[in-house]
Amino acid sequence: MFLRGPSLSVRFILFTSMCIALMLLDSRYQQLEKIRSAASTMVYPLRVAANTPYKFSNWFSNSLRTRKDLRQENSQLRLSQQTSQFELQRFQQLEAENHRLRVLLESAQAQELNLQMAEIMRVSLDPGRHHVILNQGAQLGINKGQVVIDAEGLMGQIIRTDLLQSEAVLITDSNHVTPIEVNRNGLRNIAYGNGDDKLLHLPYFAQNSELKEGDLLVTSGLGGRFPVGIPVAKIMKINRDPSKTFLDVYAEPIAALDQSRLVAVVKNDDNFERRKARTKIPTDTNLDTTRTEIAKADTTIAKPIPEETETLNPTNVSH
Amino acid sequence: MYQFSSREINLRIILSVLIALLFTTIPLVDAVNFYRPLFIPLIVLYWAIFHPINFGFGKSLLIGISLEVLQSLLIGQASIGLVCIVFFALNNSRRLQLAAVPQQMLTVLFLLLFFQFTQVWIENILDRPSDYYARGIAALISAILWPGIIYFMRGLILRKKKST
Repeated sequence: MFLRGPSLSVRFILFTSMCIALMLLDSRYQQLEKIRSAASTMVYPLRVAANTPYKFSNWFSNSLRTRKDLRQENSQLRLSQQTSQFELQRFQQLEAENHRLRVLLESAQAQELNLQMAEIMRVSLDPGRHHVILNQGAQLGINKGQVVIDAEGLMGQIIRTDLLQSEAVLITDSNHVTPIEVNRNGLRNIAYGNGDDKLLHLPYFAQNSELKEGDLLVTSGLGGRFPVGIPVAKIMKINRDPSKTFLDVYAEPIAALDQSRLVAVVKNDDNFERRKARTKIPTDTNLDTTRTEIAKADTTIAKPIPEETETLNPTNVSH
Repeated sequence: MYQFSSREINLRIILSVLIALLFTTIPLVDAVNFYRPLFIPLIVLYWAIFHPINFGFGKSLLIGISLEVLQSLLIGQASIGLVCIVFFALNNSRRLQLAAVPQQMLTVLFLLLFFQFTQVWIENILDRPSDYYARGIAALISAILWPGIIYFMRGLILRKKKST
């Protein structure tokens, strides 16, 4: 006796419905994260294997480089390092100044970043979806929502992690939005990705906004996702059409989104308060002393009301 | 004629799918990347046309999910396309087995374009831009590769026959 299952058409309808249900569960309710995470860990060796030819070719081209090339690169790197050192000194000075001002303002905004370096293993094949896979995952404390930067600026944020790898969406992805502010004057706005890795769109600047091409846009920190002040983009083009309510502004991302291979993930820093206590941040007593000094200085600067004012009072004027 | 056990066939399916996934994932320069052949749909079609008894919707769904995980697609997005083309292939497997290779290539082209259409459709529903031109070219390149796929797969299967 032969056993017969459901017909091909019935099975087709069943499996199609299953696929639709999976899509709905994944897109609307995000219920498949655990399954995806487990499956992603399973296919990890495949990703590593796929990445091997690139690594091998890199290693091979490095081993074939001549002594002259290496010397040239070395001298370039030395020059670049010296320049960076000068800049770093300036930044350290600025950071210290910024820190002192923040303490004076009793601001608790922490600007120390706890970074985890990672390497991009894979880039999304679809030109409209700007996603990258990083070779570090939850094992090193990388979690969903953490920010990804490169040496130049903001790249994106982590949207999915599993044990050994994580996935990040870039700021130019068509579904990504970044809260920004203009570094020069603090004008806040939102930068939309539009699927072009060289362009961000800012459609909501008022017509009278003071903007100019080349203005640096940095993260505003609004929404609590991105730390404040990370460079995002530079304004490239401003379309001023008086018939429209808003300016049409385009900016070019600062981070090398299509070139960087080494990136850093900004980890949530729970130990900041502990570190702050260890560093030389002035204590409350010091703060009080500082305040007293400022008050004294204010008193010195604030001149007493001149006696001449009284003499100018019409009632005191003697004729 | 040597009869394969279902375990032997399953091993070959897994091996071919792993190779296809590897070719789908290997990083390429952008200019070539967009036109990368659709290795997974090609392999799935081969098994559905030439081994319909050992290949069905369940395996297509599993292969689809692994592709989605690997390419960070929505779970079910590639699977639904694969299930649709497998349904057509299973329904017409006898006819396609007997058809000449150019006829098979045309049918494969039609099925791959349908697969790409489902992907574009879902991308549009998700409000994601999609490159229609590149997707069409990728389907065309894949259809041209069809004789090569048959040759490779038969080689993979016949290796066992020769050794026995």
